[in-house]
Amino acid sequence: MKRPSLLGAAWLVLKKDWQIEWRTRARLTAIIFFSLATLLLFSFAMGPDIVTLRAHAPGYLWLGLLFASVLSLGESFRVEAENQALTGLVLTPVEPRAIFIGKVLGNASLLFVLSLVLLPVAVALYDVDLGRDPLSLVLVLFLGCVGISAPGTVYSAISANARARDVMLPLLLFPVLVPLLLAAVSATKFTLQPDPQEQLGSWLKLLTAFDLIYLSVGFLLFPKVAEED
Amino acid sequence: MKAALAVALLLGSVALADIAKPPPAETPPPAEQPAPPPAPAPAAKHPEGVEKAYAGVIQGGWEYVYAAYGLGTAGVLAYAVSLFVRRPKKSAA
Amino acid sequence: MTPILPLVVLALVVAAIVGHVAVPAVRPWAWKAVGALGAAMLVSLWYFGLYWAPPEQFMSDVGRILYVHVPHVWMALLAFTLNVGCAVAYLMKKSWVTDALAESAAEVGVYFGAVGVMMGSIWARPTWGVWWDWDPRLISTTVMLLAYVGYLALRSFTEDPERRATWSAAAAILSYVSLPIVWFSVRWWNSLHQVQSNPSTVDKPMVAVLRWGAVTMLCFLFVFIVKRYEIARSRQTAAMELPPLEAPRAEVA
Repeated sequence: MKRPSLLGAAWLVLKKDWQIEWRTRARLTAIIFFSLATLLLFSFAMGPDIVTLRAHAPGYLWLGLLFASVLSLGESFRVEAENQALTGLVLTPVEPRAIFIGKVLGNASLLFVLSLVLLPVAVALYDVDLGRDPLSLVLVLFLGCVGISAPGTVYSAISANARARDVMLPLLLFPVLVPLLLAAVSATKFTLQPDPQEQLGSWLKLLTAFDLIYLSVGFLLFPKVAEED
Repeated sequence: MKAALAVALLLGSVALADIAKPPPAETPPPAEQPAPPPAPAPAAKHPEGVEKAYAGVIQGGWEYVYAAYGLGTAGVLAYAVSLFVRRPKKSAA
Repeated sequence: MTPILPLVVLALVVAAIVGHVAVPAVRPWAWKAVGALGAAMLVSLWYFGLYWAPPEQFMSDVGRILYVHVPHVWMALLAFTLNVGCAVAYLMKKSWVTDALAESAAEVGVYFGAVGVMMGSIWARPTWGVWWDWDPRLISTTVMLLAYVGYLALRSFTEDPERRATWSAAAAILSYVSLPIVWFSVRWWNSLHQVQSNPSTVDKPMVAVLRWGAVTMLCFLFVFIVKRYEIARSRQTAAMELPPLEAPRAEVA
């Protein structure tokens, strides 16, 4: 068999993940309903004041995504750990880095779909105005989902085999994601609400920087982590 | 690949370096504090944190100072004790 | 503070720890000597900080917390830098020595960081009127602390020593990388800027006492890491079923 190139192999891994996901759609369905429940709970916790809800909608949206991402990332390597599939994957003539890229894209695409599903829900629950700057909004969602997935993929590969893995993943992931949460919430806010000082661009830059840095670091670290799986 | 990676890291740090620049004052600086009456200090010579305390000189507060010093000393003692409790057995060493 | 000074101090600490680990002859007494020096300096820090140093201009006596608070946070940063250095070294060349050193540095760093954050909170009360404030340094330190608590939890939740070493090294690097990003983002998010204080904006006697405090804590940092390292090493040897590494070789300690 011809050895696929890095990106080719990454594409194969991504396609494999998509196929598994598409066959049952269980993970996507589960996280969609989980985050729907989360968003609903936020509005219950905050009370029916629509002005408050609208002002804090970006925060609720990203927290919902973040909580859902923990479930989804945890599942991403649990599937592989179950039958030692990751060991098999590492043994194939595929670079572990390709697995990393494929997994990041797989997780990010799942989260991105989830975020698109959540947008109309945010309109219904929090009465936000999506029409102000829809392109930037989609860009922010995409960058944020990649940013959650890049460190998340490394951490989920680590915690999939640790004891108490359900606690380990958020414990490791959340501190690292603090800047991402700040940047994503602020950027989303400025796409939904007026942005008189034009701060959106700088938050987008921070998001991009975060993504690039964690993609590079994960790219370097993942082979070492996968060796031990 | 290494080169691409280096470029990615570089781009990331460039973007960050850009961000690191203090942004144009977004909010007007909290209304210029009236010079504290007792000592109209011209040069800003004060350690961190004080910028927010523009209500003049803070009086007293010794209990907080003692609490902090006590905490530091107690912490050192407590951690030393915890190291002593966990000390390796002679046979293992 | 010139930016080069922390690096020099870090190099000195590393050299001292490596020396203590590598030279068996100094092991019985060196840490005791440094510990005694630290204890003596801590007692005199009480005198210098509480009595000898002049009251601070705006915060008056409350400003004296500076002399114990800031050194703690510095030590935490130093310990975490040592930890990430060991993590990188471990990933480049596997060794139980760097793994044990990384573990001890992380735990000592969490200790100093936790005490430092508590002191910061105590300080915030009389100066800002609240126990907690969205100050970038306070938040960054807290986030850093949380990340390293996660690191220690990961270590204790992984049984296989080699997996634990590799995974925690990866986690340490990811956490350390986040530090500057957290700092920038929080500072930027909270537009209330504060000027970073450095010795040029602080009076001379204050700098002296601050440095005295830093050296005091440096002594404790050294003793704690060295003793914690011995515990980590003995646990490793006690496990005994340590799997052979790629190139088995004579242990340093």
